[in-house]
Order: sequence, then structure tokens, then C-alpha cells
Amino acid sequence: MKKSFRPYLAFLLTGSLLTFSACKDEAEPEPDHEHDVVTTVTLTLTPANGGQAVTATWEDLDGPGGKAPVIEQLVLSANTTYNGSITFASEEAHGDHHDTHDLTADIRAEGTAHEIFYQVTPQGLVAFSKTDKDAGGLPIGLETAATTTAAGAGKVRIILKHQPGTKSSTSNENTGETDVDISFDTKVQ
Amino acid sequence: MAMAQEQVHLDGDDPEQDCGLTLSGKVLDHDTREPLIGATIYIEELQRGTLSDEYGNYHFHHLCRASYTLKVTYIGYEEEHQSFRLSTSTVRNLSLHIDARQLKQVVITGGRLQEQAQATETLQGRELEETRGLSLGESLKKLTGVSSVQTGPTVSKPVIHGLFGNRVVIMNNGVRHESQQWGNEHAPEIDPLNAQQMRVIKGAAGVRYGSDAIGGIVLVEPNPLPDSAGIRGEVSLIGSTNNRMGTVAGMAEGKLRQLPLSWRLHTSVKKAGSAQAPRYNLNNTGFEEQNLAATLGYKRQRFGAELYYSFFHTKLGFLSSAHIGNLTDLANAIGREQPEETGSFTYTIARPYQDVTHHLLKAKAFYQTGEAGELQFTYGLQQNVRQEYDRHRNTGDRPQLDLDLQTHTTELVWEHKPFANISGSMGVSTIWQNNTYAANTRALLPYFINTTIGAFAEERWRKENLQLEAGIRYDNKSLDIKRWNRTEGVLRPSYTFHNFSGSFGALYDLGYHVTLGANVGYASRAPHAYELFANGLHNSAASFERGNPELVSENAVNTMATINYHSNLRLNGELSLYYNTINNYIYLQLAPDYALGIGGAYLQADYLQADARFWGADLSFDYALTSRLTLNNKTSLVYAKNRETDSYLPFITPGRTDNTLRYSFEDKTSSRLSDSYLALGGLYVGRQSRSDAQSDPVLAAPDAYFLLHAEAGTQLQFGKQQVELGIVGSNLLNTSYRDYQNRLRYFADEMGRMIMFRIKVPL
Repeated sequence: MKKSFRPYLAFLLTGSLLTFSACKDEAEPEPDHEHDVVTTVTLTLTPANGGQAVTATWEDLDGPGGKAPVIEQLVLSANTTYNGSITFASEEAHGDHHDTHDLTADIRAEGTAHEIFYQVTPQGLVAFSKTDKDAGGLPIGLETAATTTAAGAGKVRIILKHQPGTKSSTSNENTGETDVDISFDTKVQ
Repeated sequence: MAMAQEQVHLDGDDPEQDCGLTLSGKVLDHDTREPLIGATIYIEELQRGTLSDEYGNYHFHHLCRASYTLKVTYIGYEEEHQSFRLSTSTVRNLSLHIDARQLKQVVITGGRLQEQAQATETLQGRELEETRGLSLGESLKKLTGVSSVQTGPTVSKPVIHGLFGNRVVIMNNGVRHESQQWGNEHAPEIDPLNAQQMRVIKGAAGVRYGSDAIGGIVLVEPNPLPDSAGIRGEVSLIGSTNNRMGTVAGMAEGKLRQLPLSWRLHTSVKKAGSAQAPRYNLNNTGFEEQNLAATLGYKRQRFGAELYYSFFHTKLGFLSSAHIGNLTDLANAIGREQPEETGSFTYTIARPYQDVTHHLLKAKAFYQTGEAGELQFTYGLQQNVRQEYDRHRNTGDRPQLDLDLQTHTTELVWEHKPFANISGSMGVSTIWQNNTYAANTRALLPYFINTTIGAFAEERWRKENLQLEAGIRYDNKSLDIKRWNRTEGVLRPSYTFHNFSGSFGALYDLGYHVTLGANVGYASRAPHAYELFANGLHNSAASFERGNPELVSENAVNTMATINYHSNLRLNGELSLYYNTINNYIYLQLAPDYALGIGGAYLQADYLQADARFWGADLSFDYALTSRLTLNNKTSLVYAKNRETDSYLPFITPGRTDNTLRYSFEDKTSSRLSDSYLALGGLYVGRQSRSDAQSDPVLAAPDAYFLLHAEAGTQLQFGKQQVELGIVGSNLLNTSYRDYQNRLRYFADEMGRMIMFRIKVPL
């Protein structure tokens, strides 16, 4: 009996050898970061008549959940017309590693599949109108003209929609997939 | 047959005298009532025998008033003993039952004899042929008690008694299939066209193939290698309407004349365009699949070895409108009558899609020792690469999810020689698994190394009508996780799980047509790394899924009773009832609060544990209305409840019944056609009424639906060349419906009418 077991032991060892030679625990996980997920939105409003530009940044480096996003307030002057521009970026920051991927150019390049919507509450606090156009002549919303009148306080909600194949003259903020949906607390003084 | 009158005739005997009685009658097959010619009838007390004549008649004359015992024997039938008292001349018909040993052979082709106490279902032969062209998950739906969890028309995962994913172990050609089974939208990476039979063991069955099998086991088995010399092959073509799927499969096999060496090559290529719901195109639901399998076998009397390699690659389109951003998008999608993007039919697969490659290399050997039994050793190497391409802005060719899972499995089994009515086997097995993801992709699942070592023993005792079986298994699983944390760098949590499995079953043969089986199984499953550390966004559910590092193993006690009524002329069937208590059942529960991100609000879903209970029944029967027309019924019911809160569990299979009328045509020798049949049936799936706002907070369960289906097939003879033809139609009425277990039910209807044609040419 004992002798006849020898071949199987050889089998078992062969298998184990294959198993454990692969066991080297050397791979280290990479920091998880998708270069195409928006983490940072910056709205820059420059007075048309010259003057100091106003910026507001909305940033959430660790994605949904986790740490709360850092949201700046947007403070504008009354009765002013601004040239607005907005940028979207994917940022990575941990330890001494910092890396930024700007996605604004991609959005502009794929303008026929994207549109940015500005919703202001209360209405009339700031009036945004889109000044840029995609290849099909439809607005994109990366460039805007923003006009304030009376002083007040409220919110500016910015929605970036991905609308591949569905963007049209009738598409709206309910069309397509939401990439970004954020709000800035806004004060006009 | 003149021997029938071999007794001595004594002239002049008065029939009224005590010793002038006659015993006569017919010997018949119990089921068919056909006379049996040449059966031996023997009166033990008188040591007198006779044979039945060409009409099955027998007779004994000049018998005295007394008690006699008749022994009736006939080849292929069970020996029959009858004791009775003879007081007058009597006509006594003797009916014989087909020998159980012969029955067992029927089983191998017909799947009738129960070999184990636990309920099993086998898909093979004609029923398997009718599923050719479908995915593994869709094929298995033919079996009672098996349904599927779907993600759109292309992804289908088997569900056994309401349980799926990691709770169902799939054995692919003898190797435990290891892929990213935790994902509901991850279909098994197996080519069903290479399978000659698919068997499902229902209920907790952890002993033989490893813990985890709380729901059951699916065994996918290719044909055994040829054992006679020569080369043969087979070519199949399958095509369908609806998604305009085309499949080509080819097989060649042979055995060398000089050496005990056999081989087989199998390949298949599938391509399908977008599926069509009755009212619109399901945009971007095309798929393609390429498969290759090669086997080389060496077999001698006492020693044999087999080398097997298979390659599976698929690219699956994902319904574009189901890829959504946030909760508002989800609400918009649910509010729409039809998906936002319907597009038109195309074979092109755009983002979002999955690209999955699976390699399996298997080496197996057996050695037969004279007195000890048989030893089997199996080694399996698998690599599963899953890439998921989301539909974000153009990011070149890069996937957003890119997981690489490598698995080595070994198993050594000793099947000992039966002694004293006991047969059985014992063995040890190992699993070593390493999961990584590519840089700059989503860390939905962390790096992990899983090392599992298990040992098992199962024994079976059989005597006369009773079979008892028992098994036990222990698995030690260690899980070493490496995950990146933004503030603390790489964290290395590690776990050790001890999992026991056990089973006890009894099978009782109650006479000729009824078998009773009962089984109690215990299985325990360690939580998967995903359930512990999931961390990411599921675009199709607008939910952010979070693992729970505190989870412990779930364990199930499953009690099942089966009654099998078989080998009858008209009615044959099986009923099984089960009651499955799962403690620490792991499930994904939507949380009441939202996760806020840059894309807006998402649902949050957390992995939780609770004590649960699953129970239900499976019924399947055939009723032969005439010798040609048969009614087949398959019905299954599943119920589930959270025992702690007494509330419903989400995603449980609704009750269903499928009834089919099948007409088999008579084979005429003059005709070119043989084995022709025509079938028409209807599948009714009830509404999951055991659901509420707590189990399904996003959208209530869809309505019940009824689908009409039909099948036909024949074998055509062209001279010496045989051709097998088949046609299967599903959803013939082009019904618009949604299925509760389809994850895309929020977004779109199911596929409409589909007619699938197949032709198989053996070469």
C-alpha cells in the first residue's frame, strides 16, 4: 500500500510547486484614480469692463462619499456683466504626489456630445447666456456671459451633461447622462 | 416455442379432482403490457418449469390444491416471486418490471434514476440542443428551479432556488470556475457549445466542490474523449432573427491506432447585433464571442492523463441608456416610456461595453491501484481579465475597470474500492488566487490573495432499497487584502475563515416506480473581497456600493425532500420541497441617505448581514397523452424572508410555470426524416408580489408575463450523410414585458420575438 502511494505524492507536490511559485507577494496596489472622472470645477467670471476676476472652485478629490467636497462661495457685484468660463479637471493629490488632468479641452472637442446648463435660484440673481457653439451650431456652455442686476443671495447650479447622439436643439438638462451636478452659494452685492 | 408444452400430460385425469387443476396466464411487461416471449416460469415446490409461448402464454396442468411459489425470470427484467394458494384452476397474469440495472443505463441518456439524495437536474440531449446559441445562463433556465439574473439581453447568470453569484459554484470540465462572480453583470465565461451535458445540483452542496456552494452547483461537462480509433468531426451553424446572431461551431476529435492517445479540438465564434424589444431597438446590445478548446488524453487500464486548454473571449455591449449619472438621471430614465437612445440595428459595439478573456489550463491524471481504488489529481490554472469600458469622455482605448484574477487550483481525490456496501471518496484541494487591477483604473475591488485549503470525505452505503450518504468538509481560507487609502497609504487587512460543510442524505426505493429522497446539507461561505471592500459607483443603478469589512461567513442549513415517480407508461415526474435557513446572509441594502459627489446625488448601498430563510418547491412532470403526444410541466416557486426583520429580500425569483405539448412523429423507414418533433409551449412568470418599498425602493416589481414558445427538430438523411436540423422560437407573440430579475428593468423592455435556426452536420 505504502509503495503505491508514491506516484500520487509526486502529483500533489507538482501541483503545490506550481501554486507556491506564483505566491510572490510583490505587487503593490496603485492609488485608485480614474483620469476621466471630474474632481474639480472652477468657474471664472471676469468683469467685461475690466477689473478683478472672480473665481469659485468646487472640489471633491475622493469621489462620492468619503470626505465632503470643498465648495467656495461665488461673490459678484451688482449691475455687472461678466465674461464667464468654466473648467473641469481630474485631480489627484495624496502624499507628495499631485497630478492634474484638464478635461475642458476634451469637452470642447466633443462639444456635440456635451452641454453645460446654468440654473440660478432665485431667477434673475444672475443671468447666464452661452456664448460658444459646437460644430453643429448648438451651444456648449464653456463660455458664457453672466449679468447681475440687483443685490441678493441664492445658488448657481451647474450641470454638465454627456449627450452622445442625443444633443439637439430641443435637448435639455434632462437629456443624457449627468457628469457634473454642483451648486455654488452665490451672493450679489 | 414448442417447449411451452413440455410437461407430461396424464390422460384420463378428472379436472374436478384435487390434483387436476390448471394454472395459466400471460407474462407481460408491466409498463407496455407487451407479452414477453420465452420467459421462464418455475414452481419452486414442484421443481417444475415452463417457458412462455409466442403470445406470452404459459400453463401448468395437473396441479394439486396447495400453496405454490412461482419464480418468473426474463433477461433484462427483475426476477419476480409470487406465493399464492391454488384451490381451483386459475388464470394468473404475471407482469415483470424492467431491471433496475438496465434502468440505470436509461438514466445515463434519459436522466431518470436518482443516484443521490439531493435534487439534481440535467440538461442534455434534445433539450440541450434546443438551447444551442444561447448563453450558459439562458440555457440553464430550461431546468426546473433554475432561473437567471440578467443585465440586459446579453448578460445572464444562473440562479438556483433564488441564490446566485458566489453562492453557486460552477465546475467547468472538472475545474472550479474562478472569475469575478460577485458582479451581477458578470456572466460565466464558459462556452456552452462545448458542453455535452450540464447538471445542476440544487441546494447547499459544499462537500465535494468546496464551501461557498450554498445555492448549488452547476457542472458543465464536455463529451468524453473518443475511445475508438479514427477521426470524426462536426460542424454546427446557428442563426437567429431579432439580434441577427450568427454562430459557427466546429469540432474534430480522434484516437490514434497505435497509442492510447485521443484528442479533440472545439471552436466556436458568435456574433450578434443589437437586440430588439417589441417596440424599439435596444441600443448597443450586440455581442461577440470567440472560443477554443483543445483536449489531449492518454488512457491505459490503470493510468490516464488529460491535458485541456480553453480560451474564451467576449465583447458585450451594454444598453447605452442604462449608463446613467445620478439619481435625477435614474428618475428620468424610469419616467420614460422607452430608453432615451434607441438607435437602430447595428453590429457595432460602442461604449459602454465589457471585454472579458478567460484562459483555463487543466492537467488531470488518474491512477488505479489494485486494492485501494482510484486516485485522481487535477490541476487548474485560470486567468480572468475583465475590462469594462464606461461611456465617459473619450479616454482613448483605456478601460475604466481592469481586473486581472489568476487562480491555481489543485485537487487530489481518492475514490476507494467499495467494501461492505460502502463506496466513497475523500480528498484535499487547494485554491490560490491573486487579484489585481491596472493602474489608473477604478479600484472597485482591492488587490487580494486568497489561499484556501480544504479536505473532504463522503461515503455512501447502499443495501437493497435504501441508500444512505454522508459527507463532511473543512476549508481554511485566508484572505490578504491590499488596498490603497488616500490618507494612510496601503492598508493590509487580512482575514482567516474556517468553513465547514456537511451533508446527510437518504434515498429509498419504494417499489418499482417511486423513489424517496431526503437530504440535509450544511454549507458555509466566507465573504468575498468585494463584499468586504467594495468601493465604487455602479453606473447602471446610480448607486454607490460600499463593502463592510466586519462581515463574517454566512452558513446555510438546507433541508430537501424529493419524490420521484418514474418508469411509468404515462405519468412520470418529480416533486421536491426545500427549506433553507441561511444565517448571516450577505446582501446589498440601499441606504436611506444619499452619497453626494460631483455628479450629484447617488443612492448608497451597503453590504449587510441578516438571518434569512428560503423555501419553495420544484415540480416537473411528463404526461403521455398518447404514445406520440406528451405534456411537459416545469414549475418552481421560491420564497424568501429576512428572519430578523420579517421583511422581504430583494431580487428573489418570482414563481414560474412552463408547459409544453410535444408531438413526436413516427419514424418511417421509407422516409429521409427521423426523430422529428414539434412542440408548443407557454411560460408564465408571476409578479414578485413578495416585494415592497423596502425591498425595491427604486421601482416596484414589474407585472406578470406570459410568453409563447415553439420548437421543432428532425434528422435528415442524405445518402450516408446525416444532418440535424432544429428551430426554436421564443416570445412568439412579441410581448413587451420586463423581468424582475433583470437589472435593466428600470430602463428597457425585454427582447421581442426571436427565431433561432440550427443545423448540425456530423462529418
